[in-house]
Formats: sequence, structure tokens, C-alpha cells
Amino acid sequence: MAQKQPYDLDKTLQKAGMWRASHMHAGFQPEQKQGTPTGFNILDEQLSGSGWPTDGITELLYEHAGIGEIRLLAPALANLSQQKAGWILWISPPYIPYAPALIAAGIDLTSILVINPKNQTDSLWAMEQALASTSCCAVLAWPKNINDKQVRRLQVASKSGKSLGILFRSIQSVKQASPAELRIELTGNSYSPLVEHSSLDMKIVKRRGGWPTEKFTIDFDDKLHQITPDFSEMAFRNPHKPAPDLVFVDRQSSQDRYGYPLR
Amino acid sequence: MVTHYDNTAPQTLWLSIYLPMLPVEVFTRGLKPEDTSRPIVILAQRKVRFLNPAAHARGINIGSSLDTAFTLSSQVVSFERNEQKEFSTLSHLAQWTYQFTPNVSIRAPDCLLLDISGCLKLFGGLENLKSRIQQGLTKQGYESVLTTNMTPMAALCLATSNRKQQVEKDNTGTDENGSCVAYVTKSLESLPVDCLQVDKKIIESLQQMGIADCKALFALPQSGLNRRFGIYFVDYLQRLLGEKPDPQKFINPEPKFVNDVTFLADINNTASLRFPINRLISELAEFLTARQLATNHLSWSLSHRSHGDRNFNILLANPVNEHDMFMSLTLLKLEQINDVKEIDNLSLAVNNLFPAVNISGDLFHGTPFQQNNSVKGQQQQTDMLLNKLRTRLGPGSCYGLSAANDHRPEKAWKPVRLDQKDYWQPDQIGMTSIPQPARPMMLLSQPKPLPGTCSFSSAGNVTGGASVKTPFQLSSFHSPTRKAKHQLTLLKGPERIDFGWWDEDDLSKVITRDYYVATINNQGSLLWIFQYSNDKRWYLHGIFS
Repeated sequence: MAQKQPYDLDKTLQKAGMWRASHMHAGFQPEQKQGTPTGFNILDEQLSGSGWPTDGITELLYEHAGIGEIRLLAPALANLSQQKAGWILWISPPYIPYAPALIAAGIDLTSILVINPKNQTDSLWAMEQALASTSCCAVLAWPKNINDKQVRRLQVASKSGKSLGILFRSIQSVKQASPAELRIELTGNSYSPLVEHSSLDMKIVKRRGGWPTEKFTIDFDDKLHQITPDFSEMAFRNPHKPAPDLVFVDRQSSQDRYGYPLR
Repeated sequence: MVTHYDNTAPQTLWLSIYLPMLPVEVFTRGLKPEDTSRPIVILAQRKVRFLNPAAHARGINIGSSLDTAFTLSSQVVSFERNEQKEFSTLSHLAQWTYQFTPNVSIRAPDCLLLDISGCLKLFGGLENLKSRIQQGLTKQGYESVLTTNMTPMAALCLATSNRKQQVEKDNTGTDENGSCVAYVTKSLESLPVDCLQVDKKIIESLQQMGIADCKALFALPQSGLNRRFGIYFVDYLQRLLGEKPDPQKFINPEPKFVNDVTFLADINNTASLRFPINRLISELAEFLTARQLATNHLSWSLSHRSHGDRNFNILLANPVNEHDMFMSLTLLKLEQINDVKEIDNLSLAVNNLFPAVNISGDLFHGTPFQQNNSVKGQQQQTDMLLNKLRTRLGPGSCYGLSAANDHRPEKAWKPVRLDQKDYWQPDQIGMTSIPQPARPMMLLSQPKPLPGTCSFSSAGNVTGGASVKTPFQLSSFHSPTRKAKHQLTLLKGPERIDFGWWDEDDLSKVITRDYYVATINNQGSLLWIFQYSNDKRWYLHGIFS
């Protein structure tokens, strides 16, 4: 009787068509489209295509405004606008996009187009047209309510154009199933005294070619958490209290050494 | 060395276009083929004056009354003769033939005269030119008869007489004999006298005298004709034969396009307008191409004889001449119109005309050396998306952003109209190297007062005093019922911005704001808030999204 061959795992793994979750960037996907680089290495590694997907919808889910949801996109938008790749369309932003800040982020303003449609139908129509058109390179939309059928339509439209499609939605929608290609949950990082730059916590809920990830942090290259110490108060109120940058902060505790609450 | 000069006088060649069915065609030209099988009659003074072949087939004759027509066929559609419309159509067609020659003369009520002496070579010969003109007219829905001759009057006579038969004496315009008179005489010989364009009475007298055709007429002595019929008749004959020059009054090219289509039956839904819209836009595109023009404004009008007009406009960002773009934008706008009950006329008017911009193509297009982004393709695509958005959402709905020359935060930006593109750049290059203080990505349109006594802790030190935690809602995705209590921590600041100190004499009256970057504890949101320095009220002005 012939001896049974032991099962050869290596052979099986080398077969074409075998997908391993740990090898997300393996080249077996022939139609893998190159994404737009996000500007943050730690995020690029996690995304298939090494960047924001240009043939699908990205959903950014967050609860509070101001945590850095647009600052996250700023490097990619700056690159696209400098290359004059097309329009960057803002659909019904909740506030006014502020031109000096966009210039400071490196975005060329001649590519920007802002529209404020009066009803939801027009917004969805505009987004669909922009995603399908080749003259648009990014669409940012803040839809009030959008259901998964509408997201599917947008997803289909984005396959024919080359633009990023970004929807900003509430973190409550993470419970809804959505056909978007990439879904990321964003939470802000509170200020902490020793850190000068702001940062953002991200958790990828859904991505192409990989499982959901744990939370990881993106550090912004700015000085928004830099403190201006109040010398007048310090000098005259409590002369025995040392300067703030010498305060040792125990991150685990909720109070600092002197008994004042940290967070 | 003997040089031969060309002794012959410059030969002129005139083409006459006769539109026999013009009164009928002004009403029927926009119809689909199945509709033209209905009998259509044109009335003047309650008698039938013109009819289409279908009516003729049913036995209706010119001169019968409307009742007779209805007896013979119950499907007859009748229109009152609209001479004004005929004239405007004739002018429009004269403008259309401008692409062949600049010398076009309108001969009411239904003829056009073209001086084509100079354009035979360009259009490849007389036959080609005639077939082009005839095909073009047929495409627009007009039946035409084309004849040529060496004097304008002769061409006219030939055209109006040859309603059924095609009597053509083809001539490329040169006559070796050099005699225009002889040629014209020969060509008009066999025509009966009543095709001359003179008073009916003169023709009757000639016929009563026994002169039935032109051969006999030309044989008569002119002095006798002068005494009998007056000098105008003789002058006409001389111009007819070419003995006298016959300068015509030519049209001027008009810088506008107006065209319309009438429907037999009232149309109730706008979806069935697609075919006539396509037709009108094709004609517009040809008009623009022939003149090398472009337009950025189309005025459509849906009208009915008893209601008022319903007008709508298509505005484009840049002047173009593109059939597809006009078509898709018009249909897009038409979808939004749903308050039109019935339509029997669709018209298009274009008044804003600009010289066409010629974009030179890439010489190496299609070869390995071609440029990567072809400029023309990119521009066309860009315009299409912008035009679609402007059409559906309204022309003022889309705007760009630009920095502005002001230090006040709410005035440091401005919306930019995309057809004007007045972006502002700071002039001094050196100024941009100074590090600017941080600005928020999003600005509130109105600064929002922070409620009551919001508590602030300055991160640089410790606040004393009671901190009243009052609810402060930021526009996030909170459910409205949940009121969260926020405590703000001031991080960076203050940045003092004075408003218009040069306007006030008294510096204490000047508005001064101290801007801070603040964070909401436990949330991580970064805000841009300010405090008025005189009354110490706090406001939220921006969010560092």
C-alpha cells in the first residue's frame, strides 16, 4: 500500500487564487485600482490600493465635528489639486469651507467647487453626475439621510469616473449595512498636555481585501494642541506651582499630581 | 511675343431657388413623416390656396372652399395663410444659404436669388453645389426648385415656370461666344409669356395680341413695346436679357438665430419634444459652424396660440458649439418643467454669439508621442459637468472659493463666480513665507454665541472659581434630545484682531476680538472661538474639521 503523502500546506498556499487575510497587498487582484495616496503611511498600509479608493465610496463616520475629518483628507486633496486632476466638489458642507485654511493646507483653490442644493434629490443627483464624470477628482458630501440603495447607486456611478467619493455620516450609521467600499470610524483624541500636535483615532469598519482593524492613531503634522501658557495667571495666582511643562502627568489617573482633574 | 488677354466680360451666374410649397411647409416642416400623410390645406379668404400632396390625392383643388375640402376628407387640417411667417422663414433660409455665397437676395414671396459666379470652384462645380443646396433644404423640410441662368431675372423666370419639369441647360458659366443676351434669349425661348414677372395686365395684353411665348416677344422691336406698354416693361426686358445690368440688393448676415417648429396637433407632454428639439439644435449647430461662432445662451419658448409663452433659458459657462451638450442640457431643463398644458409651437432664439475659440489639436494624436491629457478633451469634460450642475441647480448655485484681501476672518474669503474666475492672490510673495496662525477648515456663516457662562479652563494653568457647566451644542450628529455638557479648554491664544480701527475716532468703540483655539474636553474637537474685548462675550466662529 502506498504511503499516504502528508498534506502539503505550502503547495496549497502557493496556488493562484488563494487569498490570505494577512497578505492584503498580494498582487493576485488583477483589477486592483491604484488609490489616491492619503498622505499618512500608517493609513496607506491598511488600505488596498494604498490610498483612498477611486472606484468606490468612502464613508467617514464620526460623532463630533472638529476632530480632523477634513484635515485627514487635506494631503490627498492638496495633491489632486496641484496636479489639476479635476474639480473638487463640496456638496452641502455644514459650514463654509474657509479659504485661508485650505490654502495653508496646500489645496489650490481654483479646483474647488461648492454647491448647496435645496433638496436631497438634487444633492444625490449632483453627486452621481460628478462621480461618473471624468472631469471631477473628488466629491465630498454631507448627506442628511441616505439609505443603502442610494449609496449603492453612488457606488455604481463611481466605478465609471476616477474621482474619490467621500460621504460624511453619523457614527450611528455604523449599525446600518452599507455597500460603500471603505468605512472608517473616526474619534477625536482629547488634548493631552505633553503633545503639541493633534491626532485622530481611526477604526476601519470595512475595507476591500481585508478584515476590520483595531483602532489606530493618525498624527497630524500641526501644532493645534500647542498651549499658550498664561503667564499672568501663573505668576500672580500661585507662585509655588511650577510651570506647566514641568508637570508630570500620570496618564492613567484622572487627576494630576496636584489634585486637579485631567480630563 | 503676343500675349492673349481675356476679352470676354466677366460672366455672372445666378441661381434661383424657388420654394413652391412654402406656405404649407412653414407649418409642416417639423413633423414626423407619418404626420405629413394627413391632408393639409392653406386658406386665404376661406378658399383653398395651397395644399400638400396628400390633400391633392384626395381630390381637393385650389380654389375650392373649406367645406368642400372637409366633405372630401374628414382629416383635413387647415391653416390660415401666414405671410409674415413665410417671410421670416424665407429670411432664415437666406441666412442659411449665406454659407454658399455672400450675395443672396430675397425675392418675395417664395424665391431666393444667389449670385454664384465666385463659388463654383470652392464647391466643386455647379452640379455639386446645386445638389448640396437641394439636400440641405430637403433636410430642413423644404421642397425646392433650382435653376441657373446668366441674369437674375432670367433665373427667376425659369424657376417659377418649371414647377414640374426640370429644364436645365447646364452651363459652367463661361460662354465662348461671350454673349449673355444670346444665351438668355435661347434659354427662355420656349417659355410661355405668363412666366415673366410683370403686371398681369401686360401679360394679358400680350396674349390677346397673339404673342404666346417669349420667342415672339423678343422678336418685337423695343420702341414699339415702349410706346405700348411703357418704359418699365422695356427696362424689365433689357434686364432680363442682360442688355442692362441688374444690381440686386443683397442681405446682410444677421448676428442672430431664430427658428421654430409648429405642430399639427397640440402636444401635451414635454417628452415628445425630443425630436423637434434635436432638429432645431442641429440647425443651430450648422449655423454656428458656418459662421465660426459659439454661444452660451439658448432661449427656448413653448407657446400655444391661446395661452401665453413658457420660456426657459439654457446658460452655459463658456460659449461652445456642441450639439450633444446643448441637447443634454435642454432635456435636463425640460424635465423640470411640468406646468405646460399644451404646446403647438416650439422656438429657439440665440442672440449671444461669440467668435469660436479654435483649439489646435495635437499633431501626434493617436501615435506613441501624443500628449497625455489632451487639452481639448479635458476642457470639454470640465464644462459638461459644470454646465449640468448650473442648469439643474440654477446658475448662481455653484461657486468657487478664493482668499480675499482683508484681515478680518469672515471677510478673508469670498465666493467666486465660475464664469468670471476672479481669484485673489496676495501680491507680495514674501508675505507668504511668514508663518500664518492656524485657521479653521470650516467657518460658521454667523458667529454663534456660546451660552451663558460657559466655563473655560485655560490649559496653561488652573482656573479658579466655580465652573458652571452649561450645555453647549456643536453641530455634530447628536440626537437633539441629548444635551451634552461641554467644558472647553483654551489652548492657543489670544490672537487679537481689530476691526476697522481706522473708522473710529474713539479707540474704545472699536470692535476687538481675541481669538482662541479651544478644545472640547473628552471629545477632541477643536474650535475657534473669540471673545469681544469690551463686553467679554464669547462666540464660536470656526471649527478645525
